[in-house]
Amino acid sequence: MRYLDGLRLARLRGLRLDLRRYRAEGYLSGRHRSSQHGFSQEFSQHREYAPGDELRTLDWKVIARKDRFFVKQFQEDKSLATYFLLDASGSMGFRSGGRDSKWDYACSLAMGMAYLVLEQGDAAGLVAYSARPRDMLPPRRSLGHLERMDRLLGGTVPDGAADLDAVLRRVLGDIHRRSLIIVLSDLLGDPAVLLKSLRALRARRHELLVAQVLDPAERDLPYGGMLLFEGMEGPESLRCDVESLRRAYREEFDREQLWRESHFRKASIGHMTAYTDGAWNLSLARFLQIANG
Amino acid sequence: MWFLHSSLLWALPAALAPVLIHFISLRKARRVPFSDLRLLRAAYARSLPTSRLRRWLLLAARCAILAGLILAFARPVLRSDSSGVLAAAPGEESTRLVVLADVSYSMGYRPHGRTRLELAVGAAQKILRGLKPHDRVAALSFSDRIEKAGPAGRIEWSSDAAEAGAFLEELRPGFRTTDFIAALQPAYAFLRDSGPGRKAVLLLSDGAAHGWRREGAQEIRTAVSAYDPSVMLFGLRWDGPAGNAALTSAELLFGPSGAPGVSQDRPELQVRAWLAPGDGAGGLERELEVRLGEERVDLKRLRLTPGRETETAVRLSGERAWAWGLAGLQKDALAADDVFYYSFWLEPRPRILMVQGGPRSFETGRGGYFLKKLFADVRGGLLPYRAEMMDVVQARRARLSEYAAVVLFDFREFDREFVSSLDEYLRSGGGLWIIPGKTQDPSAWRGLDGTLPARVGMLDGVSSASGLRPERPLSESGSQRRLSWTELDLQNVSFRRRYVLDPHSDAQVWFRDGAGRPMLLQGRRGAGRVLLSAAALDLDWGNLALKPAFAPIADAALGYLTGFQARREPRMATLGAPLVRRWSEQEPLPASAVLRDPSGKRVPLQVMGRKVEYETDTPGIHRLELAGSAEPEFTAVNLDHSSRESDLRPTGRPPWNGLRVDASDEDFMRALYGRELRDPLLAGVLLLLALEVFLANASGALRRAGILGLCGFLWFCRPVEAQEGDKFVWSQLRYDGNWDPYPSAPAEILGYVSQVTSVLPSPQRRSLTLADPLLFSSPFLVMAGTQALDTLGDDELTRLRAYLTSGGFLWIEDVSGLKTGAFDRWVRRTLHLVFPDSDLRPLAAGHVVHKTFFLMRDLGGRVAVSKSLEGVDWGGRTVVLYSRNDVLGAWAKDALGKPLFDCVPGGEAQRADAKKLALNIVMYALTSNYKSDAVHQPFLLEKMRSGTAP
Repeated sequence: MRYLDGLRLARLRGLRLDLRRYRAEGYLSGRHRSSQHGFSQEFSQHREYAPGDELRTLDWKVIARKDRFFVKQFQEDKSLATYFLLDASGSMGFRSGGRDSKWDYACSLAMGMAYLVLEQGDAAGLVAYSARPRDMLPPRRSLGHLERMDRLLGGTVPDGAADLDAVLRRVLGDIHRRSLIIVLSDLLGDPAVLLKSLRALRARRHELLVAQVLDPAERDLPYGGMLLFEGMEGPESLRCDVESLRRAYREEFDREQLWRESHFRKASIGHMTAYTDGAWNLSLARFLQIANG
Repeated sequence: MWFLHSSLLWALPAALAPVLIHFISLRKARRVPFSDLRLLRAAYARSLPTSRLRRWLLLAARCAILAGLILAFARPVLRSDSSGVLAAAPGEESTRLVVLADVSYSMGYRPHGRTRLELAVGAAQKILRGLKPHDRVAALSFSDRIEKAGPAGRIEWSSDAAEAGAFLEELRPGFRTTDFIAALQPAYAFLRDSGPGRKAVLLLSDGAAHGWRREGAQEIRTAVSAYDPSVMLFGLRWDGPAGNAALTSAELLFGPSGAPGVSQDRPELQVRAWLAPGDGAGGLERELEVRLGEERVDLKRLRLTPGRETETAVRLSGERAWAWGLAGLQKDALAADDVFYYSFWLEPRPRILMVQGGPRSFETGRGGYFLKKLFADVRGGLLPYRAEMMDVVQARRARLSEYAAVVLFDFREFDREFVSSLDEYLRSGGGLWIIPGKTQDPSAWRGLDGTLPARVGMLDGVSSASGLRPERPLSESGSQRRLSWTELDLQNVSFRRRYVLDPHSDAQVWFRDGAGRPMLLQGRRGAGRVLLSAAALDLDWGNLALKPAFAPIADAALGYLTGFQARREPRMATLGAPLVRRWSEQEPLPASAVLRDPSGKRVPLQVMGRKVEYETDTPGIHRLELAGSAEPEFTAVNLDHSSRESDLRPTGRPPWNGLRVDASDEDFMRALYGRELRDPLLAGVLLLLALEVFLANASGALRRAGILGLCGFLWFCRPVEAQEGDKFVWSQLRYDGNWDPYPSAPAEILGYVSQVTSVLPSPQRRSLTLADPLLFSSPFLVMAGTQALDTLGDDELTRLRAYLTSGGFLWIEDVSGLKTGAFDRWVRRTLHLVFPDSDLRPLAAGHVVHKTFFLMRDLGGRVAVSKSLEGVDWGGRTVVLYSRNDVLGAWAKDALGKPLFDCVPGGEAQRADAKKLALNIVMYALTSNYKSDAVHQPFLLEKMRSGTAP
């Protein structure tokens, strides 16, 4: 696999994504105790048979004793569907100083988490989006799903502008059950619009975790001289002397990050910023810490 | 402003390179894909105004740095004067400088030990030394005229500034006044006629306002006909002078014009002192000494007020024909004007013969009594005559011709003989006043008939009407010319008795009484003059003798008779005008005249056209000794005070370029050639560089180091001061002790150097200490010594080492001639301290010093203590050369040019070797190891083989 090799898997040892704190609601059994009864090994109660019940749930011993049809009911372990929303817009392709691009970094994070999710039997799905959902994998519980995810991500090249709002509107129609949605994006774009759509997501009772992946160059602007900046998501460009505006840029950047953090906290959206110069497993660990509360 | 390397200015457009680079870099901006331009754009919008300003500032700074560098290397020169002269670089054009030295007496002003003339000449010497070889100098001295015109006696250009300097050195302040125009006129005319070139006039003067004639400093444009504004005129700037006191005049007063009691035999000398205003001068108190002849007659303190004349009078006593002497003030900074000489010739008082009629004539109340009172008062007499009283018997024996006038009074009768001698006396030009007496016998008149201007009639005993009417003005004769009759109480004069006078037709009446009858008559007898009174002076005849009018009347009468005018002639002259003594037709002409000036020098003068003339240049009493005259004539010659030469205040707005006296050469060169702006420009570039670094936010250490390096480079680009042009300077180390055992040796050696080699030595030897800043511009240093010196301090050792290791050369000469002397020990000890890492060791026979000019086989010297030179090597050359054979001593000569010392044991051959060695050492200091280059080897070998090494 491109994003998960043996070495990386080894690094994931000991990490765990504890999803039990999110009240899961799903028809697939997993590690999450569901409020619904389901088919699991843990017996809950008996109930009189009604047509339509699966015959394999009939408790023969009770039939024999009472001569009435009873079915066994079990406490069902509900699996939690986890959606990875990966921003595949053009800006995610940004890389500097020989480091991984943000896209690759975000993929690594997503794959690591997907492994953790799938490994404990929960379902994981994937949406790579730019202005619209580009590729989608519905949630599955098998570890084999990882392969598919990896293939999909490996075949995606970041391109185009990002429009999370539109994507969410499209994707949420397909997600009927309450799910854990993990957004991996650089969150560049109008922060107010972004916050609005994330709030809308929260309002539909989905759990939401946001990992912001940034390149340190986007923070530090480590360039010199007269430069022509070309936008990666569109044809626009800007000619300027970097040195003269580095300070102002940094102020703007910090101000926006602060604003984002404070508003995410208010909206109880788990949020983490990872820079591509940090080791991905450490970022993952930090993210898991946030996710695990 | 002009540029020494003006061609570099073509590079000025290169200063716009940063702008070009800026635009190119703008066009060729590096393309960088960036994730999100939103924040960048916001930041860009925010920082746009400051960043744009900074960018333009940066651009401007970079352009200015380049432009500044180009300008600095083009070496701009700024000249302060805006005369519009076509500026030229110093090397391109020769300078023609006329030096005008003011030798007026105000240049003798000596506030602190040295006169202004000495200071000015010192300032000029500095300027002259700085002149280039192709510059030309003319020097002349002036006061109110051209005194000396240069060394050659006329104004002409000389290429030898030293000669002009020597001429200036000999000048001394004279006693004449200043006239700038008189000096500037010929100087400008000379410059006008001397062809093209840069021209300058250096006025070595106190620049005082008194040097101008009328309009002050502005008159130079009008009064100097050859005035040329392109000629640079230089003067000197002085400190403001202190107040200077001067004596400006002396006047002899006596007679009625003087103070009461002042008479001819006790005249009063009125002296005027003047205090020229100056810096911080309030009133001053000075002692005034007055001498009559050689003898001091008064010493008093005089209170002087600035700008005012103070008068004081000194009483002189004793009658004399000549009153001469001096008045002297306590000496101040300008001593020349503190003395004033005076000399007056006094007309000798005439002798008068008073002949009384009888022994009772002088009794109180009688006419003789009052007449006598006129001449014999306790205060010296009212009238300036020497009167002699005689009776007729004595008078008969007297030689009448010795007397200017005869007064006959109170006479009874005269014998014929006396009358005839009187008549003869009168005819030959004598004067006679006849005053009748109380006991007059009318018959006594008879003998005098022919003499009298009137026929004497009866004695009129009836009292006449009072009052006396004058018919002749008082001022026509007598010494009291200021009076007129109206001031006297003539109306109160009355007579009780009188003779009736019947005047002859040629007689003139002086006075008439109230009734109009003549009381005093004037008549002539031959060449003589006769006065006749109608009444006696006795009180019982009238009251005239009691009235104040009596003395003036008597004075007028005697003045008329004797022609005495109480003349006094000041015999005083001012310097600048010739002394002239003229003899009138009446005076006997001397056969010969000799003038003895104040210094005692005798000058025979030739009497031509009834006068002698002499031009003197010394103030003081000049005596004119005339053949046939017992007493010499005295003439006082004084400084000319008319132009207020004593006022040392400088010209208000001088037309010259003021040079500081202590830095005259610097100011002169700056004014003549301008001030080079390279250093300020480089400093500006450094500042701009700092600004650039600040603006560009350069953080790289490399860049910083580069800029620092550039700064250092620029700093070292400052011009290096050449020590004496291209001349070799003999510098000698000065220390406490006998540092200069042979003062004449260096000049001898330098003479030899210039004679034998093409090296140009500077004639002036330079002596300096180790602490002297000039040390490091004196690459050749000689030290001679006999005894041990003080141990050098650490800083001196450091300095000496720095000097030697950075290119200096030290020649130590042990002149003691001892094998182990204290100086030798000191040298070894000290050199070991200076160079602990390099020893003093004997120089090998093949050392290049033995062949730098002469090929030396033997060392010379006054003595032969050591067989070889010793030296300390440093960096491949010998920096210290130590000789112990007293090479310098072999050069020492006496005043006649003979060697002072014998050379032992080698004699003259050894001396010749010493001379060669000295030259070789000089050449070694100049050429170092040049002669050891292989290129010289064939010649050296050839010479060594042939044995003709010089």
